[in-house]
Amino acid sequence: MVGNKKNIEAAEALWWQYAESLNRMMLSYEADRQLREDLSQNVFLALLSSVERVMAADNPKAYVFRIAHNVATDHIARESRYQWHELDEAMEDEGLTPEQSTESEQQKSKLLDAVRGLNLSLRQVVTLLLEDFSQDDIAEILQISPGNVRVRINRAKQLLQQVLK
Amino acid sequence: MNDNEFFQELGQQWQQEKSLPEITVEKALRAQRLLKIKHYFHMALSISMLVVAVYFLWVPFSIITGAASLTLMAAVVVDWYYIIRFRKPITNWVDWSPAGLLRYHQALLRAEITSAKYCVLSSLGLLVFTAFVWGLTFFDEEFKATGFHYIFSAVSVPISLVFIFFYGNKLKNGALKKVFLHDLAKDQED
Repeated sequence: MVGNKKNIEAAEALWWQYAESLNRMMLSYEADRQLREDLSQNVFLALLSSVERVMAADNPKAYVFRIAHNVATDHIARESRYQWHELDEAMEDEGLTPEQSTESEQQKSKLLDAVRGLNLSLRQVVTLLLEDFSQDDIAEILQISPGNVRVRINRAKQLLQQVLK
Repeated sequence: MNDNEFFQELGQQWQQEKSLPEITVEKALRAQRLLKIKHYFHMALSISMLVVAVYFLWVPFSIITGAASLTLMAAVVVDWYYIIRFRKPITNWVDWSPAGLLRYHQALLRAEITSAKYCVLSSLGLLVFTAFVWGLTFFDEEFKATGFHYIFSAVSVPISLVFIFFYGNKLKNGALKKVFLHDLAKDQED
């Protein structure tokens, strides 16, 4: 059964372990804090419904991220209001103004802003690459060919270089 | 700069963002608040047991009141050891980083397993105590079983057996979860 206590505990344990990386991924998909909480809940529920398969997988981390990316993609498809100028809104939510944030925070925001500006297919590859997934893992997670991953990486690099220079 | 170097450099910057999903910490804090209530309730219960143990020393002494007082005092000592050694670090936990959360859940599990062991042993203790009381009625001619002994036995024996079954299962599940959490923590360290 999906919702039994053992599965919930296993899903929670997986969630705690990858929470930091998953949060970065979700930050890149959703700027609005409230919607990001909804997204987090949905990722957790998806994780719960697949927890037995995750635990049996050769690479559980890749499986968790495949689930998370699928849910996030679905979320974007539903939330047409997704815009990358919403970064300002996210910073206001956390009580920060650009002046108050430190230089490193501004750098992180700039990078997040740049990643959010990529189209979905590139952003998927980049968020995984920035979490140290190998190109083979990315191909497995996104169910695309390794060649396609390399093309997307190259394209994303060009766009990010333009935005971040 | 090749693709790998470019993304490695960005990855270092990207991974400086250490926040957690809001629901994760909120959920843990909510669970911790509930645990604190349970903690204070447990302490109150333990103090009540101590009062009863002392009361048994005040009433006219018999082998039964002496054994009851001794059993209760032993339970109070174990209780306070558990409260200070296992429960207090959890209720005072402040490290909510991802690694901290994992350690928090390991500590919580350790406390749950210890508590389950304690409950199984207490239930066994209660069964032994009940057997001791009935043993007295058989072997001590002056000792007569009263209605209280029948009621006490009718309540304590089934409760003890249910507790042994329930917490025994909890111990088995706890052992499985312990292995799983240990593997996750090891994976995180790697």
